[in-house]
Order: sequence, then structure tokens, then C-alpha cells
Amino acid sequence: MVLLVIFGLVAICSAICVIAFKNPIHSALALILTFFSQAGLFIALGAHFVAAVQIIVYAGAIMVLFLFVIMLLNLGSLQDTVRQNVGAIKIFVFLLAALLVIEGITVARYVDQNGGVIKDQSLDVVIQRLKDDFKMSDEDIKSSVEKLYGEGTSISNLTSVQVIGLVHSEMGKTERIGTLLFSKFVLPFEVTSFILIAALIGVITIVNRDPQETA
Amino acid sequence: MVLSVLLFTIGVIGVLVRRNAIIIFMCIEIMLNAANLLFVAFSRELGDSSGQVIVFFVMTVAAAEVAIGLAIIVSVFKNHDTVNVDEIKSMKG
Amino acid sequence: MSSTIILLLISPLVGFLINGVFGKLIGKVSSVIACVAILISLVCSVLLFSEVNNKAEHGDVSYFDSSLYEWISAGDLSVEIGIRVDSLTLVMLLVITGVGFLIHVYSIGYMHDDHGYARYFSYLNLFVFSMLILVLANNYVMMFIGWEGVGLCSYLLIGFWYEKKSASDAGKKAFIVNRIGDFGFLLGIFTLFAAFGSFGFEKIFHDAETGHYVKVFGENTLKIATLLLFVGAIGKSAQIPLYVWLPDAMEGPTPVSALIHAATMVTAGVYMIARSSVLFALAETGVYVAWIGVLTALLAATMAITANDIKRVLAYSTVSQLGYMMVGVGVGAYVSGVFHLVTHAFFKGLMFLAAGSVMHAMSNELDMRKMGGLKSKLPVTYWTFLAGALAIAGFPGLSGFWSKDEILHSAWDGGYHAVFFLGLVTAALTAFYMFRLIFVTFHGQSRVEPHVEAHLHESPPVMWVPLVVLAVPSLFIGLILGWGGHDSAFHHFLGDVFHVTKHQEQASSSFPFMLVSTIVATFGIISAYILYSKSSPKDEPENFPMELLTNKYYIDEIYDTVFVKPIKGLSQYGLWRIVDVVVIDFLCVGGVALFTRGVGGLLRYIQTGVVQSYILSMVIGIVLFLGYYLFIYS
Repeated sequence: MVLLVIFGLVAICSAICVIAFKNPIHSALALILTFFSQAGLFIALGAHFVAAVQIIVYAGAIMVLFLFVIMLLNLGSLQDTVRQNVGAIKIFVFLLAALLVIEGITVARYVDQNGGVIKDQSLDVVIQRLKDDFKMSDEDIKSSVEKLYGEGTSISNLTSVQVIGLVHSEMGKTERIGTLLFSKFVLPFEVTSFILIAALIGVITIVNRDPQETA
Repeated sequence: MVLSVLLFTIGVIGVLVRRNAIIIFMCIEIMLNAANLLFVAFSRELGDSSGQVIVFFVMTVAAAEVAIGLAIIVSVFKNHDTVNVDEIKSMKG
Repeated sequence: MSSTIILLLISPLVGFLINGVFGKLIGKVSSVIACVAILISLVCSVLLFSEVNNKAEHGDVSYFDSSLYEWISAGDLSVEIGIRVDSLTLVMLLVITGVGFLIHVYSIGYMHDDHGYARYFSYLNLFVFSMLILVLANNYVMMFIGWEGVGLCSYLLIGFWYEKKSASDAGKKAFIVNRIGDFGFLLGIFTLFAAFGSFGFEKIFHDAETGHYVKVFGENTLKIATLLLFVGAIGKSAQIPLYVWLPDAMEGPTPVSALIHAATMVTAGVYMIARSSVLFALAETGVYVAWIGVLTALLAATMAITANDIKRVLAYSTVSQLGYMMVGVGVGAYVSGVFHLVTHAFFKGLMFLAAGSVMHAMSNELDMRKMGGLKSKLPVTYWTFLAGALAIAGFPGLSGFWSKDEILHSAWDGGYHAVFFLGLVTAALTAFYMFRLIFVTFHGQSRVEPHVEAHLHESPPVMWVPLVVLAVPSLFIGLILGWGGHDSAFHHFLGDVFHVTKHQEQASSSFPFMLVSTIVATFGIISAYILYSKSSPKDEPENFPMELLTNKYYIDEIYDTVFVKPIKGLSQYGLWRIVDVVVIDFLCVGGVALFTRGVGGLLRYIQTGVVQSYILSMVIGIVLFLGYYLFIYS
């Protein structure tokens, strides 16, 4: 919980910095910080795999790309990077924020922070889900339970809170994500590869155009 | 969740306010990240790992999109010699 | 039988088309075509007549009523082109085609120098066609089509010599005044449709008698309808107050005046009322018809006394006689009214043609004051004219005597005593002005100017033969058809058409009436003789009544000030300046353009080339959207 708050604040601050800095390189650095804090947030939420991917992909690849381009275009500090007439814009954005916040709060109240849906499900259903989605065998379940709550605890003896904890911890594990990825989400996975290829080709085409053609 | 919303809003402000095309792009990334955060949060709530898998895909796509976007910016730069969006007004009217 | 009818109807139409399209090419032949066309129609009429007569004698249904073609069919509204031939129709058919044919022949001679020769004959044929439609119709709409058609032809023929301003003006006047009447007629037709749900005569008359109709205006429905119809007749048959076009209509060629304005078109109003006798009888509005008729008769007769133009005298005379006919149908003596229509067609047609003959001889001079002593120079013309004049004056034994007498008799019997007396006065005036004309034109010293005198000659045979042919019935048809008063052949023939029971039966002997009208007529003739046969018209007194009469009571001038000028002013200043120029041109047309420009100018601002403004719009949109949904679900 504490982690959540800390990382959250950092994230917000760095995001504001991204907007505020005049030098694009400074903005880029702030963005990297944002990404890192985001990763932290992910870990605090128990999504370890996602956090790792975030760092590798975003902070690693994407930011490098950004920095390359900035340096390539040789953009120095820009004068007056904030446009004049921000009055109206501020109002709208403020409204947007307000709306979204209200919405978020409404949703948040509806969904219980600690455990949510799982709380209402019976033990058997949970176990069944673990087996189906994550393809865990009984031994796997047994070993995870023991790892979490000590030796000799049987799964039927867990309280609901502990069950929630079990699920949460299982959820973020890389093995589990992987299992899901290749069972339920195989098709999107393959399609994504196509997207990547398309992006690749697109980029090369765009960059290799004659400047005269795209006037 | 509120966080995610906040982040998103900041991203929007940034998009609207800055004039440098690249920085606008970065703000877009912020918005995307905010969305990812939301996904993960929900995934935790609902006990369904699908959320995280989706995040994985989103990131992939984001990467692709960044690549292409930057390529476009470079190309535009070659034509107009500036990345100041105010000056790239050929679509006016 | 139906093929005969169709042939009858189509023949003049074909004549019109051929002459109209090929007129310039065929020149003089057009007259032959036209005459032949009418001759065909005449023969058909006679055939029809004998057919119907035969059927009557054998006890068969003596009329023919059928629908040829459904013209308009829209929901409840159904207008058909249908024909009805009964005794009334036959009478009209014979008159139209018979007199029409003679006039066509006469025109060959009369118009032979005119450069609009073919055009004239095509119009004449068109006129006959329209008139036939009018009398053959079996429903009001078709009758109205014929009504309008004859109005149109009247306009065309009155303004035949359109280069002459007075002629074209007269044509316009005729049409416009007629239109006013038509408006009333149309309203009457609409009322009838609203009440009866149909335009057909059979249905309307039947339902009217049984009382089976929608009382659109309450108990007064029929009264209002018939009065409106009568308004139409007022316009077409030149009654007060819409008679003003007829005297001016003399601008047209004389045969036109004979045909249209003596024998046929102007009688359309009388025909229409006769046809609608059932309605008029039930509505008891005949009294209005009779009164307007007799007042018109009297007024016109007074104006005829002082007119100096031959055709004018005849025109006023026509208006006057039409008044008589209206009296006839007004008091319920429908047969008598139609009888007078027939006799009038003959003798007035004759007199017009004879006047034309005089004009032809006098190199188109019309003013009586410049004539005199023509008796010896134009014998045939003189004697035929005299025959007509005696007929109209009601000289005993001649046709006018019979028909006029019947009308007056019926008026008295119907209790319209005042009408009777006025009618009697008018009869005296009629005799007076008619013989004034005869004496001034044909008797006494010749006042003809020398250069005209040189050309003075009797008309060619093609012109005087029709005169003679017309003179015979003018003299005798009254006797033949009218002998026996209400028991006459004519009454028998037409009787079953007017099966509305009224005071048709003769209440008193007709002998006193005959005596009275003879006395009156003789009185008129003698007065004319005393005043005019020796002395010249220049001796006429110049006091105020004379002036009033000569100037037609200034009625034309009154109409002009009251109606014509204001309307012209309104159109010119009010409607044109304001409505047309400002509203339409500026506001509407210009307004549309300005509006489009304005809107375009505003919309232009949305299309900036700046990406961020687009994004801003998106954000605004999202805000609105989300706000809306939150609002709904909160």
C-alpha cells in the first residue's frame, strides 16, 4: 500500500515534468523516470511480469528510439514551447479530469480494493480456475501454498484472505502469464507478430521516401 | 485507479499544450501507460490474469506505433524543416 | 347512337385543328373545311333528333346518358367525360349547328378580304366545338369546360382584329367580366359537389328531389348553390351587373356577333339554368333570376333607344332579350324560356347578318345617322331585316310574338305581376327602338356620303342566301312550335325534361295577353314611325335624360373608377414594388446567398491546419460524452 502511494507520486511528478521541461532531452529523461515509477506501481500491484516487460520495452527500447530521434533532429531548447492561449484548454482538461476522477471513484467504490471478486467465489471454484487457466497441477498448488504459508498447510485450511493472497501471488508469476498467453491468447499473440512486421516495413518505407514526393 | 486517471489527464494536457511534435508524442506515451495501469489494476480486482496479458499486447503495439510515429515525424521534418506543429499548417482551410 | 354523337362532337374539332395548323397553307379552302365540319355536325344533329323522336313515339326512354371516359379519379372525386342527349340537348344542338352552319356560309363572303381568313374559321370551329361540349355534357365539370371554351373563343374572336386597340381591349373586357361570373359558377359547382358528392346531372337532380344530400350550408344549401350558378349565368348571358362586355364585343366581325353573341354563347347561361331547373325549382331562387332578368331587359332597352351604331342597338337588344329568357326560366316557365331562346337565335342572328350586309355595302360604316333610304338599294337586306324586326317586336303571328307572349303570360300566372308590367313596358320599348333603327337606316332621305354611295350594292349571294334562309324560321317557327300555348308541339317535346311540378298549367286563357302585347307592339312601332321616319335623328332632344341614356348611364365609367383603377394601382405599387422587388428578389434570393456565405464563413474556423485544435475538439467531445453518461448513471 505504501509502495503504491510512493510510486504513484513519483509517477505523477515526473509526468508533470515531462510536460513542463523546455528542453526535449530533459523531457525525455523525465519520461524515463515516469516509466520506471510505473514499473514500480506494477510490482506493487503484483504484476511482476508486466513490470519487467515495461522496463525492457518502454524504458529500454522506446526511450532509446526517442532519444535517437531527438538527437538526430538536433532540437535544442525551444522558445515558448507552451502555447499562449491555454485558458480554454485548461478548462476542458480540468473538466475531463474531474469527470474521470469521479468515474474512477465510483468504480473504485463498486469494486472492492482488496480481493474483489475472488472473495465471493467458493474455494472449489478458485481451485478449478487455478487449474484451468494456469494449468496448475495439484502438486503445483500444494507447493505454492506451502511456500506462502508455511509447510504442512493444506489448501482447505486457508482463510478467505489467504486464498485471495494466493491468487494474487499466482497471478503475477511469469509462468502463469506465459501459460495463459499460449493457451487462451494464442491468436492475438500471432497477430501481434504481424503488427510488428507491418510496423517495420512501414517505417522503412516512410523514411526512404524522396522528400519531394511527400510535399 | 484514480492515479491512472490523473496520469491520463496529465498526458492530455501535455498533448494539447506543447508545440514540439516529439514531446507531444511522449505525452501520448504517458497516456498509454496510464491506460496500462488501469488494466493491471482491474486485473487485480477481478482476479483474472487476462488483464495482464492484454497489457503485454498493448505494450507491443505501443512500441510499433512509436516506431512508425517517429518515422513520420522525421519525414515531416525533412519537408518542413521544423517540428513545431503550429507551423505545419498545410491542412488549413 | 353514340357514334353519331361522337362524330358530331369531333367534326368541328377536326376542322379547328386542320385550319389552325394548316391555315396559312390552304388559304381559302379553310372556309370550306370549316363549313363542311359544321355541316356534318348539323346532319348528325338531325339524325339524332329523328332517332330520339322515334324512340319517344315507341315509348322508349327518350334520352341518352352515358359516361365515355373517367377523366379524374382521386379518392372520392370522380370527374367523367360523359354525354347526355335529351330533348333539351337536341333543341340546343339543332340551333347551334343550324344557325352555326348558316353563319359559316355567310362568313365566306363577309370575311373574304381579310388576311386572317383561316384563323377566323379555325376559331369559329373551335367555338362550335366548345359549345357542343357545353350542351352535351352530363355533368357540371364538363359543362364548365365547354363554358370556359366558349369564353376563350369569344375573347379570341372579339379581339380578332387585334391590331386595333379597341378590339383587343374589348376582348379582354369580355373575358375578364366573364371570369367574374365563372368564379361564381365554380363556387356553385363546388357547393353542389360538397352537397351531393358528384358532378353528374342525373345523380344531383335525383338526390335533390329526394332530399338526400349533405346540407353544407344548412337549409339554404340549394339556394346558395343555385344563386352561385346564376352568378355564372349573369356573366355569360350579360345580365346586370355583368352585361358591360356585350356592347363592346361588337368590335368583332359581325358574323361573330351573330353567332356568339346572339344565338349561342350568351344563351349558355339560360341553358344552364334550364338544365338545372330541378335545383332552381326546389330552391325557389327563380324569383331572383326573374327580377334581374326583367330589370336587365328594361335597362338595356332604354339604352338601345339612343344608340346610333347599328350593332350597338342590336347588342343592347340582345341583352334585353336575354333578360326575357331569364324571366322565363325564373318564373318556372322553363319551356317558354327555351322557346324564346330558339326564336331569338333565329331573328337576332338574322338581324346581325343583315346588319353585316349593310356594313359590307356601306364600306364598313356603322353609324345610322350616315345612312338612310337604303331600302331601294339593298332590297333583300331590307326585307329580311324587316322580317327580323317584326319578329322581335312581337308582331302577331310571328315567332317573337309567340315566345315573348308565353313568357309574359307565365309571369302573370306565377303571380309576378310587377315583372309582367315591366316586361310589357320593355316590349313597347323593344318595338320602338327596333323600328327606329329600320326607319333611320332604310327609309327617308339618304344621308349617305357620296364616296360611300358609289360602292353601294347588294351583297353577294353567299351572304344573302343565309339571310333568306334565316328569315323563314324567324317568321314562322313561332307559329309552328308555339301554337297552342302550353299545349304546343314544343311543350310536348321538351315537357318531360322539366318534370318539376310547378304552376305550369295554364290558369287563364291566353287571348287577353295576346291582345295586350299586340297593342303594345303596335304602339311602339307607330311611335317610332312618327318620330323617325321622316325627320333626321339630329333632331333628337339634347336634354339630360337623353345624355344619360346615350352614355349608357355612365356605368362603364363607374366600373372603371370603382374597380379597375384601384386594382391596377394595387398591383403596380403595392404588389409589384413591395412584394416582388423587395421580398422576393432581395430577401429570398439574396438572403439565401448571404446565409450560405455566413454559415460558410463560420465553419471555416473549424478547419485549422493545427493538429492540436483537432485534438482539443476531441477532448471537448469526450468531456461532453462522459459527462452525459455520468449524469445518467449517477
